[in-house]
Amino acid sequence: MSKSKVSSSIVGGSLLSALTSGGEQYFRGYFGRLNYKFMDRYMIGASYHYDGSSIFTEDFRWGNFLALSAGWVVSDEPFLVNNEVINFLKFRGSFGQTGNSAISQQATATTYAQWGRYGDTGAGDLLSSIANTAVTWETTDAYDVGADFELFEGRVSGTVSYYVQDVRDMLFQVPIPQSSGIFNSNPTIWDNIGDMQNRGWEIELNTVNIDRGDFQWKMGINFATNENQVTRLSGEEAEIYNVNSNALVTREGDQVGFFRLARYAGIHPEGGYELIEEMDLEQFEATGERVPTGNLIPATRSNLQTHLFDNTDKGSLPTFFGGFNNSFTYKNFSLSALISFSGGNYIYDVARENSVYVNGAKPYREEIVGNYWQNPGDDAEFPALNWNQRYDVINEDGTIDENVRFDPRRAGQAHDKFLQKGDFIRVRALSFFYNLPRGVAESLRMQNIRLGFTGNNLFTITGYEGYGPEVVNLGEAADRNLGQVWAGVQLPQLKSYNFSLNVTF
Amino acid sequence: MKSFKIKNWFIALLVLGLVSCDNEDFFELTNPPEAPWQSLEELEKAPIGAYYTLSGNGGFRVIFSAERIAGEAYADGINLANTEFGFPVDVDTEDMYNRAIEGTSIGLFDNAVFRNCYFAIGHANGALDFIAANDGVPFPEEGPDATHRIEGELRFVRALAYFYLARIYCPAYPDDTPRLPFRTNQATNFDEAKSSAIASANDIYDFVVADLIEAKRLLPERYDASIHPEAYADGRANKFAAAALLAKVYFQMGLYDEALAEANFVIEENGGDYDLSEEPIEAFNKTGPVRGKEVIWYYALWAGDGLGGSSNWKHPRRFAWYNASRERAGGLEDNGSRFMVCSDAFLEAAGWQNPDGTESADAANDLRYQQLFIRVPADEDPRFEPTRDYVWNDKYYRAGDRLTNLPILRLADIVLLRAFLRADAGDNAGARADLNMVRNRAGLGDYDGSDADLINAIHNERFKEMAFEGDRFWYLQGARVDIPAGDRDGGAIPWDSPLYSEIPDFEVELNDGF
Repeated sequence: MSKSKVSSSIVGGSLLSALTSGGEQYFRGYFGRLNYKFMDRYMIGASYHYDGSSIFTEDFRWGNFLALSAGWVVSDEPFLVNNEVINFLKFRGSFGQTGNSAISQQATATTYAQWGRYGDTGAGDLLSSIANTAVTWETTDAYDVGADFELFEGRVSGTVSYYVQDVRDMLFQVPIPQSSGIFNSNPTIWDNIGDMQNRGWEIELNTVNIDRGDFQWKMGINFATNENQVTRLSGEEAEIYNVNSNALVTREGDQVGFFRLARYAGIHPEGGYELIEEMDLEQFEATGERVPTGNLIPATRSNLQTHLFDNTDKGSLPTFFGGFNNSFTYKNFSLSALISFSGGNYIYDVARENSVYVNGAKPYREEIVGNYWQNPGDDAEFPALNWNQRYDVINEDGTIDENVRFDPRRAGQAHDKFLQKGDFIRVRALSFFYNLPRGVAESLRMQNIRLGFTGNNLFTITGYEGYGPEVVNLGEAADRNLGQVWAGVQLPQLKSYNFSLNVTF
Repeated sequence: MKSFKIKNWFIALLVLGLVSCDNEDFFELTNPPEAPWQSLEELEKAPIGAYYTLSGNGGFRVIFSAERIAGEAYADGINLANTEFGFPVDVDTEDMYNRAIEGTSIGLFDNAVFRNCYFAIGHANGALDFIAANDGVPFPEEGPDATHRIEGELRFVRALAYFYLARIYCPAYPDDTPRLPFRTNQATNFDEAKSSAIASANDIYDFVVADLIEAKRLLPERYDASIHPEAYADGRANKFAAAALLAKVYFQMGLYDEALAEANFVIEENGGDYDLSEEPIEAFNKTGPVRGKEVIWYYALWAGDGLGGSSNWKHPRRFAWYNASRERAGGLEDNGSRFMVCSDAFLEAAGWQNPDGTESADAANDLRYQQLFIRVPADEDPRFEPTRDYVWNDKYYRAGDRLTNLPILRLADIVLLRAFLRADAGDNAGARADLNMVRNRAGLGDYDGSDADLINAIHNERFKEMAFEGDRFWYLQGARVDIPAGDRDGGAIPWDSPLYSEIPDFEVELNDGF
């Protein structure tokens, strides 16, 4: 029998974790693993987790998580051993389940805050969460097939793989109506809301382009795609859509967080107010479909509430991203540059929307100067500067409705003038180092002296006109996940220049 | 070797299976979440929280200061100060004043009335469910009626919240169109949390009446230091508060006999706790656990880290729109937010202004005008540049910087309500007596007009007495009297005109009950 190796382990573990909230949480896990390697080139493995958490109630406490993997090092087969081109080649495939129980400890309990003071008394109770005792583990089934390779004596190496992630019973803080009574302007309850799938390619390639004498040039490229679809959402015609916060909609069959917006159609040349495309409200009432009639209507507050179209192809998550890294060394000099890119997503520039309509004492964009409607017939970029966005609307029959409100009722009731692609390519880091000749260092009684320059985020190419295409939205976790492309005023990625002097004694 | 290891593996798996059967003890928490009310003392926190929620989570969101804007702006007692003189304007208020709100939801109320009323209702429901789950006696060792007062207060707050919601968001009573989310119990699971039943004004009013009847039964007549916690002495509802509110609710429903009975109870059986012996200002200038002699229930705003005190950002600030001072009590010069001013129609009806816009001689005789209003001559406004006189209300923030208690139910309101109810029932002598009680307190002589004009005289007296307390619109609705135009062009509109806000879309979108 040829050589083979079996390894196995069983682990039972318990974990008591104290959370910063002062609560307590108990976690017990059992873990078994079996790896089998045959002739050093065929590998299979299996593992099994059985995990319980005190965060869930008794009937929903335990989760089973299985993982299987297989690999074949083809380059160790007799027909490829000593192949001059292929130094290493491995095909691999895996299936792995992981569980997520990272939810608030209040998820399964109705709780009260105690700071509601009334009169000169001690604190009163305030309802802060409603229990959902039926929440359980979120499980991700991850499938991955791919190959790792190394060619031409290590000059070229990389991996190619395709992944599918099925997230089942997603844990989510579902917005619930204000009438639920929770003392919060955006009350939520935890629930396993549905299933979602992510899938895509991951490719990584590293090359040594030149390695000759004192000069070396290395290159690395990575590229990944992601396609996302919500495959199930519990509840009939269920949607996650909180118009108070933003225009993002999540529903079954579409990608997570697409934009529901009115369609901007320019400025009325005679009235100086904004226009949007009309939606066929009768058809919507009858079928739920949102289709345009072909007419243009004023973008009044009431029209912005109803004439909203689903942009299911415009979502909040990037569909591709990656990086491109080059490094050069020549004698004592080294230079490296990291370029990263991302795209396929859309960003709504709330900061710009908030600073081009005249409705308060606040900073306005310079771009409106000279570009707003002033006289009948103007073909303007921005509407007339009417305080509080009130306009006299010219009806089709020539009559006029005076003083109509155009300020949107809710944050999420907006038109798409400020929706833009989030694609960008950016010089993430550029660094240059020079080691002084050893003789110079030694003459100063030092081992080494290195001069350096590093620049971060030096240069970005993007069509996005907001503060920066890499948006960071602080606040509630759920808003960060889905709402970070609803971009208000925020700190963009900082540009930085660092000069360094390293001395080693 | 290999077979040995695999055998080990399976044994271990078997052990794992056995051990895991007996795991539950491990997950027992040392400090498990428990119902917040383990003792009577802890249950005292429930009504405190319920009252607190009415002021919501911010100074602009107190239900009382927002809701009163509707009571004035729809009606005829106010006008909007001219923006050409530099006065600001709020667009929602402007729409309400123009009576052009049909089919729209008024954002001004979404954050204040809608949210806070449901905070109060949700909270009260939880505590009431707790009491009910224990058959009304959650702490038997404290005696069978130990929680009666607490239950009465919770029902009072819940009724008040639903009453405010129905007035702001429903057509005038009666109306059987389902409109408002209706929760009578706290949600206990996901589906209940996601979906609230939808009820009509009729359903809501019936529920409010039932709550108030029960509250009136359960609440004590007055604070008694020997049996009540000290906190109950400050801004808390008692039997007369429940009855006074019930009288107003019945009146709103057009149930005049029932309203009259409650008004009689409040006026005649209060044991001398409430009367009109003090001047009008005394209802409005109190801080600390103190009330004017006519104040049946005030909302405490003088203390606490959420309410009152110099660092208090939650003190109601919306009054600044229709009051001379803002919350810092700094007078006209300090308040750049004011824009809701006395209408000429009101001033003339009150007899405080001549048709040519000058102050009338009678104005000096009315203590209310003298104490609770400020007339600013043209070109003398310390902040703006009006070219005409304006008369501003001055009922709020009268005890100083962010610490004035807010009278919500006061005796003059109930006496004038009874005057109308008596006159409507043909008891003109009784009505005159009530009317004169309020007139005399304001320094005026008895009513000397005819019986034919009596009801109008009562309406007019109330116009003056309750001005800028958000009463006028609801009163005319309750009395089934058309709403006059005030200073607007055109004529009166029917009392049941569709002047109510749509339900906020953020509720409609998320509530499966819709």
